[in-house]
Amino acid sequence: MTATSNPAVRAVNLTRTFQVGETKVEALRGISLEVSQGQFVALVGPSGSGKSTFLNLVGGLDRPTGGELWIDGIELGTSKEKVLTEHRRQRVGFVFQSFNLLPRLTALENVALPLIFSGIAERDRLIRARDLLAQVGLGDRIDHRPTQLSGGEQQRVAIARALVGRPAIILADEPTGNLDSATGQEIMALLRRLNQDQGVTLLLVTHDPEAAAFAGRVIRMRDGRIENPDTPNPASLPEVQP
Amino acid sequence: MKLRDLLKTALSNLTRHKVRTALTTVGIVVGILTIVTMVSLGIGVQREMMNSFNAVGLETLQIYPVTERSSSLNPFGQAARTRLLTPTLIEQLQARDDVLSVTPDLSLPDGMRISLRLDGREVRADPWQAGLTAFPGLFENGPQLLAGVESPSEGGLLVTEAILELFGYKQEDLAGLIGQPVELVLYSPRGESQAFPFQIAGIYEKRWGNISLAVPDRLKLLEWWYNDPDYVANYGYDELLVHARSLNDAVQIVDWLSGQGFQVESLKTILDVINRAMIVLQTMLASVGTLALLVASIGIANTMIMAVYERTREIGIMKAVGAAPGQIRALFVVEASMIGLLGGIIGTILGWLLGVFLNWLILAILRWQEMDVRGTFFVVSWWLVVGALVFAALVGLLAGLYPAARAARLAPLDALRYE
Repeated sequence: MTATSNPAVRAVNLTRTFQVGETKVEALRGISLEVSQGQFVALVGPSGSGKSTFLNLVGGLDRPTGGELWIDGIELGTSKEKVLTEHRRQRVGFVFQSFNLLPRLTALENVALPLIFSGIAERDRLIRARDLLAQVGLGDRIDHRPTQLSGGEQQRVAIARALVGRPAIILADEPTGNLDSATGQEIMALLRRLNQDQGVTLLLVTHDPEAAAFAGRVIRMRDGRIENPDTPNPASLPEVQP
Repeated sequence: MKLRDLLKTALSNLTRHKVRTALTTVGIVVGILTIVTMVSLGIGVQREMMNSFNAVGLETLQIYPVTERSSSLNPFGQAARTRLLTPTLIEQLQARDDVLSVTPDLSLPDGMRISLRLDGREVRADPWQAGLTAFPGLFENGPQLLAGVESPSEGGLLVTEAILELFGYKQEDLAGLIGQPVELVLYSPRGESQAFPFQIAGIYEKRWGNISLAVPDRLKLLEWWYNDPDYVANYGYDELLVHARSLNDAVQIVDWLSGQGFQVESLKTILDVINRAMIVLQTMLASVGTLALLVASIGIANTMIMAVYERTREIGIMKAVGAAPGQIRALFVVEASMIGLLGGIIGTILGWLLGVFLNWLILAILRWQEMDVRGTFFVVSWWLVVGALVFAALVGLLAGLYPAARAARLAPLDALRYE
């Protein structure tokens, strides 16, 4: 899949303000940007720069307080809860820093979990989940629970889970934050391979320059604003074979 | 989300905290147990009564004479009767198309002194009032007939095994005593005595008394006792049992007799009163169980609210991967309903077992009291089982609504950050 005229993500003067007690915290102060389909974008910046907030808005986990956020022809800010649920279910997949796997479920069940909510039959769920676990290199660990897996393996399970609903966009929030650098490199390589092989749009939030180096485009954020709206990634490394 | 997945997930969540689930269930178990036991008692008693009533037939009427309050001036303690059940009335009733049969009954007064004379010896006899009572064999299998006939014709006498034992007869002699001539001797307060010849017609194992005789014979005794050859004409029968052709005819006859000033009881009216009383009783007892369920529902709500706190992060994850608020709500509501249903199943089984035990206990006590009563007082009908289970699940469901709504309302981001 190549980039078409329709951007995967289009934000117009997007703002997000939190009310913390008496004070207002402006996490996003007017973000405007476009991400093409199939692009691998890294959002970098110091803590509190608003990069995670932006990612959560794109994922439909949170709502903007102002501006527009268009994804696949739908403006998320004004959409109903039902549309946001559909959005999370079908168009995006999350990869978290802390993996966020359900500890009681096996790797296979964790990967299959999102499909339960789409009403897909158990047999079909497990076939798909098994296939994805094989793709992320965990074909032999499907019956292990998260506690029996290493950090890197848990993150692979989480990536497989993010892919299970065939989303157009993967949202990864510090996916290497809890991993040692070698494992982090492996995870990044896996994400880039998915981006390249399957054409999945990838939004990565990180403050690890090594992780950001995998991206095709780096967006720097500070104090809720974008510092470099449309610069390509200067630090882009040659493709790493996984 | 498929129903199967919903049930499976809810069940697996419940088995995560087995002890907590079990403890939460206890309240429901107690409530349902109480309701099932009480209602099954109601059903059992009602059914036993219906069976007894049906044996007699609802188209049966009992007619009693109208009696004034007994007067101390009356030497025999007999109350004066203002409306008599005379042979004329019997003829009038028998002449009606809608009457199938009329059976009169007479009681022997308590103060009447009677002896049974056999083999030249006399033993004090106590007549039982076989009666036409509306409740023949209520909860009873009826007294055990050991030999001879159940009810005597004129000149025949029923006796119990016990009185024959007083004459020194053993069980193996009983069959040979049928047809044996005996005499009943009456002693009046006037100091006179009179012997009446009888033949033993039947022998019973046990009764509330030790002899019984046919109505015409009772009349003979009464005529001598009151020294009144026209006893029935003057004083009338004590009770008439009228079998009407149908229930409708029975109502007509009741109207006719009531119009003449008689006191009439139809089984249907008695049954209606008893049924109403039973419903009141059942409702009261079931209310106790309902109260227990109310308390139990608070326990379920508490458990579910705790579960929502514990699983906040999990709820966040599920929402992030595409769970709709309605699906989260359904998950918790189903979980709460399952607690209710589980309690309902256990409570129904225990309630049924308690009924079986209480039934055994009551019959054992009655037997110990030498009352020959048989019957099933506790009946767990299929609708009681279904009703109890549905009710239990419904209590769980209602208790789960609020916690489930809280879970569904959680903002996904806050839930994900919850530690």
